[in-house]
Amino acid sequence: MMPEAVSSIAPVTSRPAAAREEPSQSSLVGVDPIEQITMMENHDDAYYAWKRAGLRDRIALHLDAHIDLFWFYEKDPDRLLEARSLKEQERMLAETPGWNLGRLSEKDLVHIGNFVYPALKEGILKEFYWILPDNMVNGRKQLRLIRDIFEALVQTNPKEVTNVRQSERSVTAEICGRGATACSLSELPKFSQRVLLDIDTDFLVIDRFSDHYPYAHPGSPKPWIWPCELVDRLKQQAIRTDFVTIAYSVEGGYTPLGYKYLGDDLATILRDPVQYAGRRRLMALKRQGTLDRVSGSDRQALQHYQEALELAPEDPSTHYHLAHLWRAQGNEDQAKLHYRHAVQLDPTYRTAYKNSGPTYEALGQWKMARAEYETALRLDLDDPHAYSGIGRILIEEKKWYDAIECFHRALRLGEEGPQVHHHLGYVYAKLKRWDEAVTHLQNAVTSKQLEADTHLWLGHIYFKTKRWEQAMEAFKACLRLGLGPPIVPWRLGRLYLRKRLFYKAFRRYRDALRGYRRLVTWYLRRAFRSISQLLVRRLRHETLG
Amino acid sequence: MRRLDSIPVKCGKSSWHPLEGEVVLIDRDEGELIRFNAIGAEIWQVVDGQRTVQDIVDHICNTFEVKRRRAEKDVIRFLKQLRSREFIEELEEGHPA
Repeated sequence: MMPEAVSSIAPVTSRPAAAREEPSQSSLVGVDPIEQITMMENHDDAYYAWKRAGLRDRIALHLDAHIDLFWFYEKDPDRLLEARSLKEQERMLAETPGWNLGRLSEKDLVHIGNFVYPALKEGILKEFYWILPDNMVNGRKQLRLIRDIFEALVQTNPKEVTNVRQSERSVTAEICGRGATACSLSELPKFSQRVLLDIDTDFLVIDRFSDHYPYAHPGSPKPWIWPCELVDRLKQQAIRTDFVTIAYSVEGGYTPLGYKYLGDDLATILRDPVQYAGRRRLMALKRQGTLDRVSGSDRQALQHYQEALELAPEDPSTHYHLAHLWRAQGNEDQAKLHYRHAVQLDPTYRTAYKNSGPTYEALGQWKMARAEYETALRLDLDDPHAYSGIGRILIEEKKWYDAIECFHRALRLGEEGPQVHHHLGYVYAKLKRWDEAVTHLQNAVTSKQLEADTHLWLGHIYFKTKRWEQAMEAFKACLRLGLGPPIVPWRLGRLYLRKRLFYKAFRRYRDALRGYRRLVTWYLRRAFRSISQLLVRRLRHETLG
Repeated sequence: MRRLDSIPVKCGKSSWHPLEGEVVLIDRDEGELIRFNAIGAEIWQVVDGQRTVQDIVDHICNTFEVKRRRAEKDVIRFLKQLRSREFIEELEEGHPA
């Protein structure tokens, strides 16, 4: 169910009667100015913002196209050693299925996919509402998908995630003994108290579980709801809040960079519905420009963005859109000029996610990804991310030497190291140039995203070059970080055998065999499913024929 | 740990705590929580980098009603298991028995 289009919000001076009785420190969304709005790129910073503010027992409205609720190991295993009796310890073990025995730090454990879980666990949140875009909770089939997500949480954390239920319009569960509900904005109950409003900008853009989920549509779709419409709907629900967190989520490919400004617009409206009136014209022009662009009317889009630029010459998003529109018109000089302006005004516009290349890569669409990177180079010949992206595509094409050249060029142009070093290390390993591979992989270990993979490759290289102790440490690091393809315990088993640590070797070989068994089962199931689908298709074809 | 005068020492990689006469230990390498029974706990607690295997056997004989030959065999076997899991190592100073 799509919301009714609401073009603007007029400042309201009178408030609903019920709202007058609410705590005076909170604001009625869309009516009162909200002072405490924290903007962030990565959504997990919301958890740290809540913690810093000392919030406790709050209801959170989490507007997001993604769940952010995955479970992870308990942070402090030493708590087990504080048990006063064996019985108490056994109870602790039964209550929490996994403990962070590898001593990963909070920084390693908490990420954009799970930060809500520790917030619930630590009592920052007492109730959690995951509000999804309307299309994603519209109907039984969609709700079934949400329920599957919750059921998957039960599989990994049966003690903490219980009572998953699907109703006509929502899915509910208990997480760490606290209520969790997934529903649309319209299905929210009336709250008698202030809530934490936690919004991901991708909520405005991603509106369905499509083939490219969890990423935004790489073809830059138009938002399904605009900031003013969202605020209006929150106002209709009489939401009161005193603390808002807004994540851009551009990094990772969730919010297209072109729509990052929607997060800022949202903050502008929430921060001061009166002052917002002064920016309404600018927002309307950019919105019209976007709609023109999506409908293929690039000339009209250009006109609208030019008008927007006159109103706000320092607005990076307008320059960014103008750059792409001029490029589409074949005016490369204007395109470059506006792109440079956008980056000067907001250096984050030089992100690796400034185009859909990384998303196409994640979807395995290499040709499309390459086209995106080549376009990026037309806007900025010194774009390190584009060289890095082309390097990754060359790896797929097994063009090792060309890939090396691209990665080195990216490094020279200032590409942030770890990921490029990781890929360079991988390529050198493929070429059996072990020393260069090790040097680059060691530089890459600092990358949180690729740390486990980097240890895996270091392990393989150390193993091949007979540096047994280092290989063992690298493989152990892989396991600690949760990366456990069967080859890791298998090789660890062999390394333990070398050290005559027979018991450990036995355990690792056993783990490896279990892993291989799971892998074979998975492949067999997939093959069976493919064959069945093929047979069904053939049968249908014959029936129709 | 074949020699009675070798000196075992804890590796210090694991956290542990005595509890109701037993010892609970976190093996961070393997990601496991391990419990030692009363005798194992006693042996673990006297592994201090000072005492030789012989000293530990003496301590066990004095603490529990067990024959020396049996205690020697059990202590050595247990210490070997601890070493195989890298909970302890052997100090170099020991001399052949």
